[in-house]
Amino acid sequence: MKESAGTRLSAVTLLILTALVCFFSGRSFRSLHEPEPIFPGDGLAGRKLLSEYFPGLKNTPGDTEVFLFQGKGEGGRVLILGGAHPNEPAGLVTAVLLIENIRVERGSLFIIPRANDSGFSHSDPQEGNPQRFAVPTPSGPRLFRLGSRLTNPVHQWPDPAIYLNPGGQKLSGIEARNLNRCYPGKPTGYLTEKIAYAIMELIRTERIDLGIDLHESAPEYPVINAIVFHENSAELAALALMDIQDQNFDIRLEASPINLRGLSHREWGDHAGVKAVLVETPNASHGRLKGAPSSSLVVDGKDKFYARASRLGWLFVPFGEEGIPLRLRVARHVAAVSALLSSLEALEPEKAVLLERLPPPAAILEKGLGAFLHPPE
Amino acid sequence: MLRLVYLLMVLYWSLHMIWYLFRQKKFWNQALVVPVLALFLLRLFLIK
Repeated sequence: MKESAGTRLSAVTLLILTALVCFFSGRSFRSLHEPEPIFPGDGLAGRKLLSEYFPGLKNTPGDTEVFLFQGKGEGGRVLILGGAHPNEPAGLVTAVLLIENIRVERGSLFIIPRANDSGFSHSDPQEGNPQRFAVPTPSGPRLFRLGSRLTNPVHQWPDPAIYLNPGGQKLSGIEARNLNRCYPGKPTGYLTEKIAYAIMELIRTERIDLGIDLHESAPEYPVINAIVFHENSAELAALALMDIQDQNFDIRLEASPINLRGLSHREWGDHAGVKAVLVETPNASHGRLKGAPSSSLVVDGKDKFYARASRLGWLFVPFGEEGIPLRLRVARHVAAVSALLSSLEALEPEKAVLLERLPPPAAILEKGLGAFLHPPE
Repeated sequence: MLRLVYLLMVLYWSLHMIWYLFRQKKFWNQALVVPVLALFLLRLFLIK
């Protein structure tokens, strides 16, 4: 075959082609930096930025919204965190579901739906994940970004070879961009450490009584369908466990290891004296055994490879052909939030946070998430 | 400072690829520059 000759004209043409590739792909990547809209219900008392608690975060990609719900009666103060790991979508969607539905009758509730907002602005390299997933609503699909577990390297670079986190633990370098390894944070540290520090400042300034961090884990990971609790929250977690099991959800307790530093359930309790728990649900879309990633895998949670792995006894949760859909994972998180608030009220009645219009987990399972989410714009 | 050094390196290699694109006499060798140069430019402008 005769080789085609390269000319100055072909070079210019290819340069224009490169510019077009950059323009269209760049536009697509840049669109991930725009947060999806959240439509708070009439129970919202205020909307703040995390940088109001730590000005060092102002005008950085680490700044994020804090939604405040305030009851008329005196009570406790609770923080709910979603999106600490943006590739664990049940945390984000649960937080959004709460923001768009609830009213607080007594006490105060602070919700951060996108704790690591920078992590939502990119996706994990070489995973082939979709940029967004679509939750069906009666008015059409509502899109949410599926981000990365880590802060965007465009916002925080370079990673150290070995990361010594603020808790004094040595970790691999990329963990410097993992919000849930950076607590209690550092005001002069990496961007992710600043985000962690700002969350600690919110906890201290607002005198939070209970912090709930919403996560998901891969079905082959042992800490799953679990409440991970700081030792100061053992009784609270045990009470909540019974309540969640009463609602027909499998759940177990995991004590936060004292020598595992940098995690929310450890450092919130140690450094701010707050009751701290982290809740995990099973998510096939960020596991290692999954098939082709897709929006459907995130939302419907069906994966034949995980079903097979379950039959072979390789998983820590039952995983059938019907999968583990997002609505089940969000219903679990809602059940956990409700049970933890009830347990807080039972143990310390003066710190009760009473919610109205919290979508019942059974109704989420029956009607789907779309019945409780604001229609898309 | 480190970021600036990094971006200067990315800029250097991007310019090098453009120079190669114009000097290369084989079309398919020229075409192979496109996917690499696009990645370098996206990083140079801190898009990806």
